[in-house]
Amino acid sequence: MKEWFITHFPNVVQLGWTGDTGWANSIVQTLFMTFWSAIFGGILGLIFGIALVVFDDNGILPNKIIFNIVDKIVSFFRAIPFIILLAFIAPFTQFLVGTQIGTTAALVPLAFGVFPFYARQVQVALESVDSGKIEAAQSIGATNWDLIFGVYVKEARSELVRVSTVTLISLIGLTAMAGAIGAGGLGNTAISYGYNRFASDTTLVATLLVVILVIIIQLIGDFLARKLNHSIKK
Amino acid sequence: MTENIIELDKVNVKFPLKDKTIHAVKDVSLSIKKGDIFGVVGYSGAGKSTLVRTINLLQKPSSGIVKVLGKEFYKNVDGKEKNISVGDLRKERRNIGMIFQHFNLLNERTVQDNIAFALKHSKLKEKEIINKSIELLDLVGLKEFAKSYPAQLSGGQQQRVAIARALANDPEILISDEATSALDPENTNQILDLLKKINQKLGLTVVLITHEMDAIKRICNNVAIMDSGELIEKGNIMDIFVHSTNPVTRKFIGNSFDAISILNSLNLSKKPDAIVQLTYTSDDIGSPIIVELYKQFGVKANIIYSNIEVLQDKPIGTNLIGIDGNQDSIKKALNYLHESNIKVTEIKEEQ
Repeated sequence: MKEWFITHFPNVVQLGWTGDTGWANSIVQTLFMTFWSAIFGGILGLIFGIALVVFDDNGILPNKIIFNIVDKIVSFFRAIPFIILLAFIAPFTQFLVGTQIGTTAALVPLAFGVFPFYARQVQVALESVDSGKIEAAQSIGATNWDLIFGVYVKEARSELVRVSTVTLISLIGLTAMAGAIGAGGLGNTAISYGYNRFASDTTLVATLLVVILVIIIQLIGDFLARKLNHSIKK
Repeated sequence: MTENIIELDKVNVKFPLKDKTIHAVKDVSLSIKKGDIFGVVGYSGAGKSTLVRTINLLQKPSSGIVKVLGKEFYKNVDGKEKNISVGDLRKERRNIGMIFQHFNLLNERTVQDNIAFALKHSKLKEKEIINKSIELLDLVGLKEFAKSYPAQLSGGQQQRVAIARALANDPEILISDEATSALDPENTNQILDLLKKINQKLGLTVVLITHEMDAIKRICNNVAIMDSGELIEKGNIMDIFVHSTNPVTRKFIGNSFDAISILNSLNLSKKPDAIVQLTYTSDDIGSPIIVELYKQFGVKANIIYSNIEVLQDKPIGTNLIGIDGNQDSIKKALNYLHESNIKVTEIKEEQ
């Protein structure tokens, strides 16, 4: 088995497990980028998504000005292709983390790349909450805070898990591009050490690892979404 | 006990749309007494829901005065708007429970937590909140479902939970917005009886919005009838039922409408000289009227159709009778019936 692997995947073996170009390193880099940009982008996206629902004309605090500002910011960042965003946002990255390259530097464009996408998904998820429930909560004297977290977020939690899963998976897609600013990761391995060196075995293994990662996230997401949903009889 | 708990004065609600304004509620004035069960009836789109939503300001009026529990919630009589503060409104709303057509329970909370959610801002401690939730569930007969989720309950049960939630903060008013419209007849009656029980037990004022006259008949003391945003008639249900001559009201009550269709379906071979509908309460019938009509006026009365309905536990009779005799005697006979406090409606056959 081991020999068969060495014969058929020589470049994969050559990269090794440890070291700068090793597989362990690129897996960790992908997980690191995905995790932290999901946290930052997620928080940002959640805030913007909630704002889009709350300040909407039919929301609990209708405000055209705030809604339009939030809406335009989200649309603006969504319109920029990620590979361009990497370059566009570089000065801001420099200001924030002190460098424009590397895994940590990639977190800034990743977070900014993913938050508008997530914000839109959160908006749709929260809007799925029946306005009657909001009205009922208002009729018992709920505060705006209660309405946002006690009704909107809580009632939509299963839907939020679902859209978070989708977002997380597309975020993994974005981390592959972060290789362009030296952030490493599985995507970078597939392109730099695989494709560019005509080492198709490396590309194949890197791709498979990404696919496995995506499947695991999808399975966990589906499980949680089912577990958190009590709106159907079961 | 005759204090007005809700006072609406010349309330208007307008919805401005792009090309026109919808005037949903037009100059409606209404006062509801403490401890009353007050019905608001009308067809869909009559504005009854919009009107009642102004009571807890879920719907802001365009003008008028809304006074609830002695406090002015909203006032705009001279173009200057005065609103209760957001914080005060929130507190006052806890004195006004509300239940809805589609129950509007929170699906991701257990039945018990749905009620506890309403108590979040009460002064009760966590343990007391749990106890109170269970107590309320007991009141609506659902104690054993405390840990269930709303989706696991039937519609009637969900509405009971909604009632328990609405009662959580010991409100003085309960608004029921088409709360039985999505339920089957049996559940409808159970919910209505529960509302009546709560009204009697807790002294709660109930405002019942519905398009079903049967619901009003079952539990209301007073009723207001709305049609295209206007309040057509209001008053004691017995009075309205027996004496109202307003065509929309009569259509809602149903009797004269029924009478015509019954008459048409009977296909009488020999038409009587006059057909009248008599409506009366049990207090009104002292003498055997059919016999009296013959004895005093020489007219022969024939009962075509007869029906008794129960309003607030009091029977109301409706008779459709054909009268044969000369015109003069019939006139006198009808006058006699009038004087006996029986409501007489002449039915002209229509095709």
